Amino acid sequence: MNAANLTLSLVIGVLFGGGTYLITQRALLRVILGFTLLGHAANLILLLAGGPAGPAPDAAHIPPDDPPRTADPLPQALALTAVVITFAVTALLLALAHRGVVLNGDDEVPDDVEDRQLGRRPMRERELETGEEDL
Amino acid sequence: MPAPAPLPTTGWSGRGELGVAVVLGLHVLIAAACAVTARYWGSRVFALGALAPAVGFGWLLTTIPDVLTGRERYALWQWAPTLQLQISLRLDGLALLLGLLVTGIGALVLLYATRYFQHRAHGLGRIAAVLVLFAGSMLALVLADNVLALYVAWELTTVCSFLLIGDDGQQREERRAAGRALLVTTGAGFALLLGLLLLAEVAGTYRIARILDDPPDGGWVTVAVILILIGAAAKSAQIPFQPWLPAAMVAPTPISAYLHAAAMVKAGVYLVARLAPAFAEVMPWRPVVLTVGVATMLLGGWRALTQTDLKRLLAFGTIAQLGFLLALMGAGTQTAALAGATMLLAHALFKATLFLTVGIIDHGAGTRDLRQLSGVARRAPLLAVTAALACVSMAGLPPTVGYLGKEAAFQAFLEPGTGHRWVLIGLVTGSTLTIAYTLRFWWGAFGNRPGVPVRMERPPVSFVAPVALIAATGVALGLAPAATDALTARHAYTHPHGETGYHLELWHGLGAPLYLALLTLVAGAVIHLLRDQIPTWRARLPSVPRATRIQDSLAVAVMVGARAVTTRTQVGSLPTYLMVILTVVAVGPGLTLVLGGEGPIEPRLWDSPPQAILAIGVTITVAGVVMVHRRLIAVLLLSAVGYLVAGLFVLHGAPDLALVQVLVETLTLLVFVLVLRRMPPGVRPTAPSLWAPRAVVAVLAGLFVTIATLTVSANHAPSPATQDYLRLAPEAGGPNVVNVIVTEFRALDTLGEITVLAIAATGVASLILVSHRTGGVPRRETIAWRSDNIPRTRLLPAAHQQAPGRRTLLLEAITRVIHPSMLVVASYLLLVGLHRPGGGFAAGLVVGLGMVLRRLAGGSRELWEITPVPPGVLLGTGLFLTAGYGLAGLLWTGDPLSGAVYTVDLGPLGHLELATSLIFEAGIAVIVTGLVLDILRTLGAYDVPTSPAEAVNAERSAR
Amino acid sequence: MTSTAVLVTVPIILPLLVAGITFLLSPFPSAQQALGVTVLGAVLIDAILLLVRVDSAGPQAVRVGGWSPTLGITLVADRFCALVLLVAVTVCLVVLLYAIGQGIAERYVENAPSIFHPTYLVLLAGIALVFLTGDLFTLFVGLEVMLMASYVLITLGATRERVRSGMTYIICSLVASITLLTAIGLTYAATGTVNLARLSLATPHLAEGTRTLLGALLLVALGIKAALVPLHWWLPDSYPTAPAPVTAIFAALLTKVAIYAIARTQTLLFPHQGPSTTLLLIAAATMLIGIAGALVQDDLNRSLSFALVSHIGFMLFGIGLWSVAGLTGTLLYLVHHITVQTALFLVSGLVERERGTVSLSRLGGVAVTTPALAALFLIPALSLSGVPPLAGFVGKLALLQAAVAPAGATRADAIGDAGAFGADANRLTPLVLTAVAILLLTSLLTLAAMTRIWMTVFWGEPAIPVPDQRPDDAVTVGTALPARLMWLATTLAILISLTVAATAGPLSAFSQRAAVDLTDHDTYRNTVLRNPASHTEETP
Repeated sequence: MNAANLTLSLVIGVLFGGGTYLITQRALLRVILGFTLLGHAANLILLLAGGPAGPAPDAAHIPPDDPPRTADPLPQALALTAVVITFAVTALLLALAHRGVVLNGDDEVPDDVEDRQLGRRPMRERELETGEEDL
Repeated sequence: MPAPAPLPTTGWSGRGELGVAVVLGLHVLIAAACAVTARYWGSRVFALGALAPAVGFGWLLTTIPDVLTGRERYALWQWAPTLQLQISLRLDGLALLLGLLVTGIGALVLLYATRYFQHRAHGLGRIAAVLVLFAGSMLALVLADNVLALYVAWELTTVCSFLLIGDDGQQREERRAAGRALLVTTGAGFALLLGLLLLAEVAGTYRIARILDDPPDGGWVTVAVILILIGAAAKSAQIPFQPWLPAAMVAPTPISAYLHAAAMVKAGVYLVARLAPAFAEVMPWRPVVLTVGVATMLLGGWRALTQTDLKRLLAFGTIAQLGFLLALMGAGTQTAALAGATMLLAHALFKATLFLTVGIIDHGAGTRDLRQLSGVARRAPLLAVTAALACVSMAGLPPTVGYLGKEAAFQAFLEPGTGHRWVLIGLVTGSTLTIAYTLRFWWGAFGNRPGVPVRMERPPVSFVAPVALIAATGVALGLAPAATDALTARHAYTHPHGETGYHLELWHGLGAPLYLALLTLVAGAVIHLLRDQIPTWRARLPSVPRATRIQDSLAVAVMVGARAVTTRTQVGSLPTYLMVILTVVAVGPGLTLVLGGEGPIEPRLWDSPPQAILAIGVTITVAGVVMVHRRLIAVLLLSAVGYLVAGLFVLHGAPDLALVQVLVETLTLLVFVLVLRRMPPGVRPTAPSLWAPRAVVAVLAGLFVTIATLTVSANHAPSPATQDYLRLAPEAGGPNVVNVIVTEFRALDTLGEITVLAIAATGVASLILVSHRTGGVPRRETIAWRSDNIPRTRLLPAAHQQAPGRRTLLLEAITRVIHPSMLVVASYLLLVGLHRPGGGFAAGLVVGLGMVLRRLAGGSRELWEITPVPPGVLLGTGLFLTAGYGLAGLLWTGDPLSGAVYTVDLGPLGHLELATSLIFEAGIAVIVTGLVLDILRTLGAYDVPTSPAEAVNAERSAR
Repeated sequence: MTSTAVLVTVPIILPLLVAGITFLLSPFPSAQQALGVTVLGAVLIDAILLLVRVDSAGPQAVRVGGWSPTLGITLVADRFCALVLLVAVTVCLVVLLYAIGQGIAERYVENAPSIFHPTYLVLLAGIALVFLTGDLFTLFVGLEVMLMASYVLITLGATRERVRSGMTYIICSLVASITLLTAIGLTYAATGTVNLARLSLATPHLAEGTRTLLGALLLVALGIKAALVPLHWWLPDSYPTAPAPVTAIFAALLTKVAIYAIARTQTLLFPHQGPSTTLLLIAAATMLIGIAGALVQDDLNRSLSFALVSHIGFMLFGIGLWSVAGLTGTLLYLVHHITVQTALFLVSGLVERERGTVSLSRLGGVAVTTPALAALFLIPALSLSGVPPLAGFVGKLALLQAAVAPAGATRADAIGDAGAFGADANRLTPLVLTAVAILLLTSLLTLAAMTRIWMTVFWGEPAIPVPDQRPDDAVTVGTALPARLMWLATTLAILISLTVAATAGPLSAFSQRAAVDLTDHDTYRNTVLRNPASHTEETP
């Protein structure tokens, strides 16, 4: 069965692209924004995975037609879980950003000092235990 | 060749198995004992150590009658049969010969060490223990009958050697030598391992004896042979691996004598000897072995002639002899093997003697430099004689075992059919050099040099005795050629080729071997007389690339390369990493999509026009979020996106999802705002050079997801479960299928998800509530709290605490009105969750929003009025409730997280269906509430200063 | 049946329950400690019993809430996960002891609530959930639980560099999570189920393109968490700054959990004929890039972190061979690597405790000042380099055998090599041989890296201890505080690693049975989908 939906797929693409752009930024706040967008994209994918739109899955009001074609409930439940997890992570990230501001005055993601230094530090002779003696 | 005797899979003749077990076990035990007792016994601990190899020697002596009459012994203990990892031992002629050397010389060297280390205080326990362990490993190596067991012992000896060379690693020379030896031999050892594995897999057995009985052939065998020879060559210091051996001479003399002359360096030769009977004919075995062997012999001999350090001189001599041995053992004919076995015996004896001699001289004269030694012979005549005996054997003169071996060696390559004249020439030249450096050694160690002061002290007899014993053995074996022949011939006859019935004799009559021996003697003497010319000759030789240099520059290259790779890739910038990762995410699977070549897709435009409208809205707002650099605006746009997405959910028939989405979005917005207060208003706009690549990645990712979604959903498989859910939901809890799935069908997911919530809350706490001096936030106790002397209202008591300037009475009023109803709504959502949209999350979120409202109206202090319980307690309770519900279900119904539905009759009010999962839902609500409270008490704990004075207060209360 | 349900559920739910209690106990650290150790002990016993059960009775399935796999979540325990779970729990217990000894557990009492113990327990619960679940989405949830706990642990104390590394770690993990979620969504769209057993029925019928897409997406998503090159960048930049026990448990388990998930999903859902070029290439790259980094770092922990990345390649190599022997090797190496990596990081923690730094250039002569510590480092270091007779050698041997076995005709089927991978599952192709060469080269370079550490840290002239830069954090320098428990825990970790080598016999046999389980999809499906009478009716 063909459930391909151009509009939704494009929306997902837009959300994913925007999220990708933002998450590669230096300001942690924008990273968080990006992550939220990516979360939306993923949830929409889940929803779309359930197939085309339909009446809400409610056992109390099952549509008459047989088999009753309601929206697939499972992806909704999964998306529900995902939404909550995303929220939890966002909260933590915001706390992290807050901490970053407290420590550094801004929320930029600093580079790894050790990595940077490795490039500069001259190679110590003891690192290569080689000798001049004539063997 | 006699048909191979069938190999017993287990057991020696009982006594034997016990014997070998005891011997090997004893080495371990005594090693441990040495490590412990060294503290009290000092260098006498080596005497204890000598016990282990001594016992081994004794045991081997008892087996001689059996082994030499062909009654070989086997033992087998399983280690990991699945991996063919068995400790399988076999005592045959070759193993016996090597075993006797390893144990016998080991015992004497350890005895010698008691004197040698007399004046040393530290590290004796370690040295003794490792030495004994080495002796054990070496014995195991020569006994091993399983390729893996052999490899294990092989590497054990390497590690022991590393630790013994490095000693306590205080001198740079020691460290360097140890590292060189370890890396060279282990590196080649890995090649050996692969070779052995290939060989065993092709042969279909890991038992060496079986492989030799029925040697496999084919391309893989050639590969295996090459790899094995690499390993052997490195272990026996052959070209181009040899430099590690002279370098290793920084180790104390007993170690040089035992590991790097008598025992360990023989391992490679031993392995070649072990495999030669079966594989000498396999290309490229013979050419490689003979070339490398002869070349090494010549190089070693030549380099020995210019050494002034006696130990170094001997080291190069060892290299030369090892080359000699490799050529003999690898040649693959009976006579060559006989010569090889004999030379091996001889070399172990005389080289050990000479090293130990140097050790004594070193102790007595304080130097090993032959230019500063004089008159040693006069001061230590016994030592001089001992050394002389060894030298005679090294030079290959009668009546020593060295002579027997040398003559046999010449004979081996004189025999018709072997047809390697050039090898013979090489060996003769090598022997000439040997004689030359032998003379140089004795002259250097014991000769008189006018003008050089005599500094040698007379060594105690007990110091010289073990050395003399070893030397004497060399002569004794030479005088009893029959006995020597008996010891060595067993191995020779395992060779299928070149049966000539040659036997070791002191007098074979006049013949080519004898003449060649005389030739080498004369030539060697001449070279020694012309010794002063050698440096000039050497200078004239074209300079060849030195193995040392090659190895070192290789090491440097590796380090430089590694550094280059690391600094280029591990740049330490998160955005860069993310771009790489996301590119992989998009391109990797994307490629499979392109290559997969799915059929054309005819997607619907939309499910319903409103979808399109919302879609446009989303697109615009997303664009806004991406472009805006004002943080607050970006955040507001973000929640706009969220609400629009919620709209899409509704259109898709997911009201519950939409409800939670809206609530979450709202809460998120509020949290964002709380944090934004601490942040600079804008973000630095990204420089074009930076945003361009990011944009590319973004587009790639977007495209990939869109296409992937279209492709996959184009042939969508509707879930068969939907109907079941609709049918079973009511009896499981209620008609609202989605919430029933969340709380019943997939309750485990929910349990996990609220755990995530709870831990996120603790994370927020641990990030914000760090110790005060690092910029934490005020706790209740840090806030001046005077709630007694003010009129308290039931709601918003803290409102009065706020500075008049910041009280918003309207907000307070609204809150007072709305807040109670919010609680009602929450409990309603909680109860009806299973019937209509709602549930624990929604309830918890609404309560949370209520708190936020009170926080805004009542100021930060209101937070401690909302509830006396700290968030942690809420989280704990919630987690306890939900997990407990899961466990209870397990205990009652046998199914974890299983619930039931009870109908409560409320008389006229009708009846209410209560699911036990209500407990679960309640737990969820409690945790969500806890999370919100936690966030408010951390991120929301500050009132944003409106006046400088207040700012100061805030700072003070923070401190 | 019920007893099985208990055995399978306890490792997941009990830690959560106790985590809840420890929240409430936050004012009483000692009570938290006691409770934490007790519950881990209980879970350990449970894991042992589970191992015995599945080995005797074969794979076990438990339907959560009693719902059929179509509707609900099914937990599945087979030999593979039982063994990994046992090792994981053991290591968790050891590291918890170490953490208590180090004082990290009480260190943050000032934070209400005291968070270490609940978080640590939740971490274990998440790991157990990933191991035991038979459901793709629950696997995601389990990963999230584990990750959220790890986010909290890696930022403990919220010092400047921990916040920095926290950002790197968390954000990269988020990308992984989102990718995984996307993969799950697409999988559901294509198959209409998230139950692994049902998926294994559905995937073979998918269009080629779709199947490879889903396989690749899952591999990438989990590959980020497993730190496969080129998705590994975050690991060496984030692990080293955490407190020693946290780094140890991360290095020991988190990446391995991802490897476990990769092995599980790839073998079950996307079976492959013969060695997989892609996987072997990734494995080779991971080995080389990782070890290159380990060779040049100046920080002991960073060097070990790079070594960790490099050896992830070993495990992927085993999977990439697509043979029972290969999976056996992967499993053996997994077990070995979990224990040895823990030991190494715990030793590094002791070094910092004793000398005040882990910077190679400021260390020296520890073998003289603290010989015991040198011994504690030497054993796992050699084991990591695959020097016999230690555990690393056993694992490497299994991998090598798996690779070269096809050179010999018969051994492949002697191991019963067929199952999902077909008869000619493995051939000794040039590619495989190259990978083997790289594997051996990596072993040598690992030895070089370890030798370098040994020579600079443990040999050489003793360096003066560095005074404690961060007196307020978990690590207190100098032997003033007795660290007996830390020493004990470290020794314990090394003893476990030695036990792995000593029990190589039964262990390798078991691993082989486990590997056969992994390839025997029919049994797996029957276990999960079979309709036990006691349960709700199966859907048609």
